[in-house]
Amino acid sequence: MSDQMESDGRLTDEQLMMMFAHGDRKRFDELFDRYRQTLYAFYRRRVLHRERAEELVQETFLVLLRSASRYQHQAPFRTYLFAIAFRVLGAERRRTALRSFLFVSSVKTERSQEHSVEDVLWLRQALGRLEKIDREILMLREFEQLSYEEIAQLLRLPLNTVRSRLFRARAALRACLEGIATSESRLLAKGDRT
Amino acid sequence: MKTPLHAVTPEEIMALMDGELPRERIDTVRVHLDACVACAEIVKEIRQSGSLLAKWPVEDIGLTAVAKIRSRLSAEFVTPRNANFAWRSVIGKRGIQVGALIASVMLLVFGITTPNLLRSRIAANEASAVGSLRALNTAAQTYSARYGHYPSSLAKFGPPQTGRPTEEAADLIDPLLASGRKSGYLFVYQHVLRSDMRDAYLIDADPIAPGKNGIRHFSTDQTGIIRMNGSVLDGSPEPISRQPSEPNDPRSANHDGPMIARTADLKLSVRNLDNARDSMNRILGRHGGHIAQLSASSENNSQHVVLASLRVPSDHLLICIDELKALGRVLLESQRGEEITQQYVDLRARLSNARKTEARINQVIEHRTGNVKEVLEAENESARVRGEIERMESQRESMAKRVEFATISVTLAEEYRAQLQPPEPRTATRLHNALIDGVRQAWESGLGLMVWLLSVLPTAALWFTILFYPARWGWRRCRTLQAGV
Repeated sequence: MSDQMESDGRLTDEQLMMMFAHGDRKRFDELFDRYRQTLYAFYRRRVLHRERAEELVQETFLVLLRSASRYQHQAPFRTYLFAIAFRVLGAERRRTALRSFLFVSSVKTERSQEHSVEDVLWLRQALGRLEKIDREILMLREFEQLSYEEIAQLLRLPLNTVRSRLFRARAALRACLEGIATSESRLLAKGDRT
Repeated sequence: MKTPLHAVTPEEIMALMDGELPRERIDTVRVHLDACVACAEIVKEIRQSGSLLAKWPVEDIGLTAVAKIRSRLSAEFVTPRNANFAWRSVIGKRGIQVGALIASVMLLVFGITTPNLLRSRIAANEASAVGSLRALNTAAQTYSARYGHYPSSLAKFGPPQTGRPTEEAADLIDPLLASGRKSGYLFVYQHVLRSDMRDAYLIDADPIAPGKNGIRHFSTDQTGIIRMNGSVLDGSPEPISRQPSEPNDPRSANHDGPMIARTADLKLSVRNLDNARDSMNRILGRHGGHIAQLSASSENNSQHVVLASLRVPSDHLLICIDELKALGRVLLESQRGEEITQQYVDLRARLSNARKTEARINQVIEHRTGNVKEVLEAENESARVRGEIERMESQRESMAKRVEFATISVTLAEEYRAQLQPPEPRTATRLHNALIDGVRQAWESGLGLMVWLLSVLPTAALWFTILFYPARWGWRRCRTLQAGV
């Protein structure tokens, strides 16, 4: 969160955002290029449909664009962006819940499009067993590479809570993965016997 | 994962690995890790977790998607900022679909119910048309009784612009019906002179927009019969042939004329009540009438009033009314005519049957063909039938009297003259009364508020429960979007 340039001579995210807020449209393209894949990965791991993840990326940038005039250089841009992404994701989840309630869930997965399908399913399953807030902290740390401080700001939690919950989440994930592996091996062994 | 008790916490070890440990603690934790096998195990486990999560890579966002997003963002640059803040973003795509679905269902329901509503309206209009024809028949009879002929147009049944009812505006029906259009029906009145030189009338009622306001055609004439599409309507009165020259003669009406019990109300303001009473008595004497009931009120500090119920021969009713009206200023005048022909005919028939029954029973008694018990029963029955006959004769007489003698309810009110008021109550009494009134009003007001709250609270609670969560959701959604997030 510094106004100085980054070490490679590039402008910081915050500088780009401030310049865009003052009317420099090209800076927004730079921000888009920097964060499009990060945001896509953020959504892709949290929603089932690739197209929906792309739409949410678009929605996030639209919100960012519309709110640029109100941007204040008080928090790191990355935290600001992920805060928007979290809100957009929350809205998406509410819509999905409403859709499931009204029209009966028609959720379909895209297994064929994901890398190493088994690993991903395994991980999804294990992460799904974690407490919601622990899961988000773990994912933000491991996938989005946010610092403890950024996570704390984003989720509005004390820093120590983030740290202890992250440790707990890692332990729980390991336990879950071991549990899943054990139960699957048992099933396989049972199948072999029959 | 093990969490042994050591100089450093496992969270610190994790923070060191994540590069999040405060600088002053880094050396301490590193030294401990070099010496502690258990803590080194924690490091290993954390690395394993990280390597497991690394197995979830995400493919690159497609170039097509990137181009699409860029295009959308460019479009956003072109349009004014926040111009696209639309309800679509609040309610979402699915919300629009749900809205469209609800609208479709509502349209469907509307489509189903509209014909029923139309049918209901047609039925109501037709019922209203029949009722209007009945009202017109009654009005025609009254008009004829009052002025000796039927009116030449429908407007003459209606109320006058100003002043008293006249032959040109008899005030017998409401102005809407007198205009010829009511409840989707058009009423056409024709005054005709029959071949026997007796006057008659014909009224047609047709829907203004056939199929929309009504379907059936109705008509009536001086006989009182209401016809629907040419056939007699159920519940229509028996045909009557009226003779205007002798409208209320019970003996002739028994056979071929209507029997109408006529009543009138008259309220007059007079200068001198005693003089007016004398004049009223003289009018009654001249026309062979009498006072059925009279009450006078003459309390201090209030208007002096005489309430009287007068009975005058029906033939003299109009003249009597005119003469009574001359006694003072008319405040109210109304006339009504109740047709009791049917009741009278029924009563006569029942009376005739009862007499025949009585004759047969008397025959049995005279011949004494049965035993004593049977004779006694016959005598009892004879007594019962005789009682019935006498009761019915009394009713018949009463009906005949009602037709023969019209009733005029007269209210004579003396013009009010203010009098010197007695002195007001003492100041203490007035204060006492004011206090009592104040307390009573406060109590009534509090009670009224409680009653209102009790009546409103359940409904308010219901709607609050229903609307709270949607409203909170909508508010949060709007606030989120308006805040730019």
